[in-house]
Amino acid sequence: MSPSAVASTSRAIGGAGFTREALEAMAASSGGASSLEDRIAAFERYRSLAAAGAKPGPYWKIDLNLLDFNGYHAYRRPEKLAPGDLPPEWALLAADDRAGLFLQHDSESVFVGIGSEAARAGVVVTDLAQAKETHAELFAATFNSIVLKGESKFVALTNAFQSGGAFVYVPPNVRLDQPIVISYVVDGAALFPHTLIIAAEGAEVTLIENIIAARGESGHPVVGITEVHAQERAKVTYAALQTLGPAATHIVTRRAKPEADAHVTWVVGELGGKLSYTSVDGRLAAPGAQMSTYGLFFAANAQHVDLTANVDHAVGATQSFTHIKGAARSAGQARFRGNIRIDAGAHGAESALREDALLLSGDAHIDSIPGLEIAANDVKAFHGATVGALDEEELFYVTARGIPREDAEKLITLGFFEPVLEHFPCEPIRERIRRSLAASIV
Amino acid sequence: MADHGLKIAGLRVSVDDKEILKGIDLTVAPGRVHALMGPNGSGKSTLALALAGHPKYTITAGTATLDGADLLALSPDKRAKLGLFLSFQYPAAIPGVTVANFLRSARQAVHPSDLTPAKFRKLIFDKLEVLEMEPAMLGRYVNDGFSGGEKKRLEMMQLAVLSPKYAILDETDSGLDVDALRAVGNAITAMRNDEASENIGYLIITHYPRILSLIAPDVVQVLIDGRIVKSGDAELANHIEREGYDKIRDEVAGVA
Repeated sequence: MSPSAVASTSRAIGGAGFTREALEAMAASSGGASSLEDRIAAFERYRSLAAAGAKPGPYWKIDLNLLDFNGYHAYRRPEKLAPGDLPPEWALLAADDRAGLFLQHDSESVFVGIGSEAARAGVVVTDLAQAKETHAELFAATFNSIVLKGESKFVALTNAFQSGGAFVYVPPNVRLDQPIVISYVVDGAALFPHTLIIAAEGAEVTLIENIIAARGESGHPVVGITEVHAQERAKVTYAALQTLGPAATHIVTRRAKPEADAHVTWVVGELGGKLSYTSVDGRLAAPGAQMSTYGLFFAANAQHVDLTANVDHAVGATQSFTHIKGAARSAGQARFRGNIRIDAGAHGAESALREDALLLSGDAHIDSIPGLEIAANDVKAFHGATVGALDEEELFYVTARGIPREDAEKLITLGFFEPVLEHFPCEPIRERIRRSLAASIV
Repeated sequence: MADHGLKIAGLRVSVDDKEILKGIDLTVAPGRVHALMGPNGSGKSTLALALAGHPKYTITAGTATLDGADLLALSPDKRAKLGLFLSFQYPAAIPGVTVANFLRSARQAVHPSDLTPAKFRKLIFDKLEVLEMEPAMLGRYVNDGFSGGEKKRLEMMQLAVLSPKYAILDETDSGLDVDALRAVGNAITAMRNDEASENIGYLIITHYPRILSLIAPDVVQVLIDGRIVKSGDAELANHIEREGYDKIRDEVAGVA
């Protein structure tokens, strides 16, 4: 079954645009994880708040407060898929290579599958609204507890229009060798997924979020929230790759809460869309908590990328490591903010922040804005940044081996990303990233 | 065939408007070893990099042809495709690009699809053995964090993989320990004894004669201040070892 055949049978609810009428219509139809009152309150908050991201200027051309969503439906109900109908691009990994799959097409999940071993171990992969019923306690304890309700303009927008989103629970000491894939497929409507991951004490899990368009030209935005709760000694790797089409907008707030001796690793890739406005955060509030963040982005053509990575060391004996690599070409614009905060009393915290920017044309622009706020003594904090064009000596060396200039640029640029790219958890996703980067480079 | 050879005639090269090479005439014949010796600053590396097409070097006069084809009109990659190889004195590191990927890409660019993957693999592993290198280095990033010896061994690996018509070895022996020097010597000797690569002509650029005790030169020329001031056979290299460059400099000054 082709993706377009799937789309033709889905239907939109409510008129176009993110309006109060559209909100009431979708809430009546979908139910979801929040009450109508909460949704309306969030919607009003969305309308009253200003966005905190990049401001229009000589380089950055997009006003985050004036995004035009009028042409887009806020809700569209898809048809369910049978296992045999899963397009491989949507499932990302074959059934034998994954522990579970949550697949959302437009506003609702269309396929949820879990491997037999994971199912026997008590792993839960389900839809957020479903989890509210079936895992009420876990849901209530976590939902909106890490990314707070209405904390920013676009969090409020997702709070208002939330539909779908994966809920994953891994029970104590269960270690999954294979990843769980979460695919969000944009087609005939905007997506507002709220993803909730809970790894219990000593659990280990890798998640791969795959944000793609059923059709390349789709301009429908994805505005989401991801909350990750890693309980004591849990290890969670959350890899997310966005390869939407050139007209799309991707906005997401991702935040982790690692408890004592837990380790959360983020690996994020922002490659598609005309606007990508994302943040990845963590609050380290228990001794031994660790967070590693690897990020890459490519702003080609007139793409605008605003990526923020925040780490808050609230107590001592916590560690964080952040490494972001971004490139921009033609009129691509990017802003990267890395903020490290070490609170008073968080003695012995260790933090490293590294950002590398590669400019592939004269019109391209990347602002790297590090922020270190250190209120404790006796900490280790490192910050390093590089920015520059491709190195002529490297290019000469590669071309002197018979490789044409254009291919040499491609090779060296892919190499630039590799130290971050290699942290993506499996080869098919790394290959997809390399292909996407290679297509953007020249 | 009269055109055969790497032929340099009347070559003058400037960097930032300063003339470094002041008219070089030199021919490397197929299968021969041509040594170009000279003290630091004489212009040896300038010749190597200018022939390979480094953009920093401006050719102001003269010609350079490879088996009759005009090298100077070509971009660096096309010079390599024509059969010119440069072993760099200071090879650049290419972070994020593995040695295996780089060797494959280079081979594919210069000799498209001429070896099956199995044969290519065999070539690589044979050369690893000759060069006394661990297979694990194939997974490392090109020259990234390599020791001086590892870099030069990798240059020799690339020489073998690209199988050129003419190879310029720019100070390949400088900074090498005894083991690395022996490995480099073995690699070149193996290629010279192999029917498939015996016709490669070498231009060996060096300050010290020690590499020439491993690869016997057919011709030795001495470059001082951008000019070739003396030509001879292997005995000239021994002479330099005994007397140093000052003696030659004095002789040349005396003649002038």
